[in-house]
Amino acid sequence: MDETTLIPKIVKGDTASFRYLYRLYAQSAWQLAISICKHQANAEEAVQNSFISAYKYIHTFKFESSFKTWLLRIVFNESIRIRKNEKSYKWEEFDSSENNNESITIDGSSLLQKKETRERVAKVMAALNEKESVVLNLFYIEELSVKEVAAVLGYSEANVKVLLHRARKNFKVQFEHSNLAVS
Amino acid sequence: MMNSNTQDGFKELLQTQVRNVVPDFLEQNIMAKIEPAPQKRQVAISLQSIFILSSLASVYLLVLLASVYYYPNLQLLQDLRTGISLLFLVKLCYDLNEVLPSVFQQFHWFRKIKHS
Repeated sequence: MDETTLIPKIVKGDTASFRYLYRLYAQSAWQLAISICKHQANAEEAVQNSFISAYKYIHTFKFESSFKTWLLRIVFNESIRIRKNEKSYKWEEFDSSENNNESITIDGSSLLQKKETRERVAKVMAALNEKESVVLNLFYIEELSVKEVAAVLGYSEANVKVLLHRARKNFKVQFEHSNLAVS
Repeated sequence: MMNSNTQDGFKELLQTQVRNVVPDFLEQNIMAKIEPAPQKRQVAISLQSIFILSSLASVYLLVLLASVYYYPNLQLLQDLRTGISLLFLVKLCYDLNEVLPSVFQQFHWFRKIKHS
């Protein structure tokens, strides 16, 4: 089932179809929310509010973009809104390692190497500024096109390209720097 | 500047990151907020039923008075009385059939009998 058949059903009130859509895009929404909010409780609130808003306003979705782009735009706005309220909220540091459920069946040395790389990438991503880490996340992890990233962030395509270029450059510098620090 | 997200080696590097798992309860929370709550079964007898039953009871009383004090030997009035009382009983049973299950549902012994 694709979104063109699911969405009209949801508009008619079919919540089972919405559940299906949730399962399709929850991971992407969560990844974006956590990269902006940096805190699990806030990311939960952002994702929950976003999906509820998406359900409420799904009748306004005109198929001009993909549903994923439309949804991620809502998640982005909601995460930013929550982030702006953070001063009144005491944050605990989000520990991404607690959800490590990846299963690897390769030999010990490559597992160690992979873990090391992963830790370095995570560290570099955390060190980048918010916009850069979000744009890298959307472009490389969510595999959105420049046009879609621009739609999600509300920037022009040219701005996204500049941001991507800057993010790649900063990432490369910091990654190489972390390499030196390790060796 | 590179626009493709597959050719510059960044994708492979960034995708080494472990994706944070979406908490399970989020789906339940979201679905609970968007799914309409089941409609509560109506427990009380409707106003319409009360009106019909009280009208039948009033007519029954009138016919009873007439048959006892004014026309004690008129068979028609007694048949009418019987008819009205039957109608009353049928209506009462019909309404109780609607109401009683939800009333009994509140009692533990009823649920036990129902599920056994």
